[in-house]
Amino acid sequence: MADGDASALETLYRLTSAKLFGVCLRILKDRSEAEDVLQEVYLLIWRRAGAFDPLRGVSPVTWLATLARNKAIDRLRGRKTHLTRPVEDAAHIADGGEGAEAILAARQDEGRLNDCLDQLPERHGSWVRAAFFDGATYAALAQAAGAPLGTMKSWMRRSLLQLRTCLEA
Amino acid sequence: MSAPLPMDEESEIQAAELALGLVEGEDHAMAWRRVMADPDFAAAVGAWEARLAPLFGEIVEAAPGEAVWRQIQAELTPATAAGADRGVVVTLRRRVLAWRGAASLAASLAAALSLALLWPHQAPVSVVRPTPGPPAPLLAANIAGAGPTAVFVAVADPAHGRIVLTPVKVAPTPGKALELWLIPTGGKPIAIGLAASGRPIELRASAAPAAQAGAVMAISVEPPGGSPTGAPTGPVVATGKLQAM
Repeated sequence: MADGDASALETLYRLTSAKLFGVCLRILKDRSEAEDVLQEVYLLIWRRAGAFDPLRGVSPVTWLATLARNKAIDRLRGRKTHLTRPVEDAAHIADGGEGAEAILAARQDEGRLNDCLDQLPERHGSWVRAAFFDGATYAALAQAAGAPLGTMKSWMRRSLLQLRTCLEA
Repeated sequence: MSAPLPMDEESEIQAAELALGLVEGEDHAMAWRRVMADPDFAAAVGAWEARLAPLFGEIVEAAPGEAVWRQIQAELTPATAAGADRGVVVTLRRRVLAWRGAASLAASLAAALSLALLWPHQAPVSVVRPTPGPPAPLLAANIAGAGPTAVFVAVADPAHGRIVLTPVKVAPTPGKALELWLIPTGGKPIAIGLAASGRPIELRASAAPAAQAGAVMAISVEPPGGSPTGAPTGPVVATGKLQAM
C-alpha cells in the first residue's frame, strides 16, 4: 500500500510539479526558496494529516495550485503556516470534470476573467493581478500606487465586488 | 454540500481579500480563524479561489531541480504515510494520477490530459522525471483541423499500449466514421482505430514504437468501419503532433 501510494505521489509530482514550481517561482522569485516550498507542498499532500488546507469545493487542479500559492505567500511573508485544520473527508473535493467539457470551460473562463479584469477602473485590474501573481498586499499596492492605505483598500473592495458581478453576469 | 447562505457584502470582500492574500497580520489571522469556524465563509473563500483560478493558466511552467523529488522520496516512509485507503492522496489519485489497474487507465489518462490542457498557454513541458527508473512518458497531441470538424485531444501511453481520445469539438458526418492514424516522422500512416471519445484504443505492439514525440496523429473521414484499404481514403480533417507531457 505504501508502495502504491508512493508511486501515485510520484506520478502526481511528474504531472503537476512544473506548474506548481512555476507558481512558487512567480511569488518567491528565488529558485531555492521555491524548491523548498514545492517539497513542502508534496509532503503535505503525502502526510494528509495534521496541518492541512480545508477543502472548499474547488477542483483538484485548483486546489493543488492554490495550496502551492498559499504556501509560497506564507514563505514570502515569513509566517510559519496559516493552515491548521485537518482534512475531514476527501469526498469534499469537488469533481472538477476531467473531460473535454472541462477543458473547453477552462479556456472560456480565462477569457471571461481577463475581460472582467479589463473592465475594472484603470489600473485596478493590474492591482488584482499583482496580488495574485506577486503576492502583493494592500500595503504594497498602496505604496506602489502612491496612495494612502485606506484609499487603496476602498478602491480594491469596490473593484472586487464589481469583478464578482461581472463574472456572474 | 448544501447551498451556503449568501454572504453579506463585507464578508464577501473579506473572502476575496483572503483568497488573493491582500491582508496581513491580525486581519489575516482573523480571516483564517473564520474559515475554520464558519463553513459558509470557507465556501465563499473557495468560490473566490475558483473565480481567480483561471489566472493560473498564465503561469509559465518551470522544471524544479531533480534533487527536489529525491528529497521528497526520502521522506515517503510508512511512518509518514497516514495509512488508510481514504484521504486526499487517494481522491487526488482517482482524479489526477495513474492507477495500476488497466480498467482505470482511461480515467487516469483523461485526468492527465486535463491537467496538461487546462493550462493551455504553453506547449506541454516534459517534466523533470523523478529518479529512479521512471515509466515511459505519456504523450499528448492536440488534433485540430482547419474547420470546425473533428477537434480531438489524444493521450498516448506507449508503455501500456493505449491511446485515449477526447473530442473537444466534433461535427459528426452522418454515415461516416472518423479513423485515427499515427504517422511517424517520414513514415506512412498507420491505422490505429476508429475515433470514439473516452474509450481507450488498443495500440498494437507493431504500432507502439511509432508513438513517439514528434509523430503526427491524424483523423480522416472514412466509410463506417474505417478505411477498407489500410490507408486513409477520405479527407484528413485534423492533425496534431505528439509531444511529451
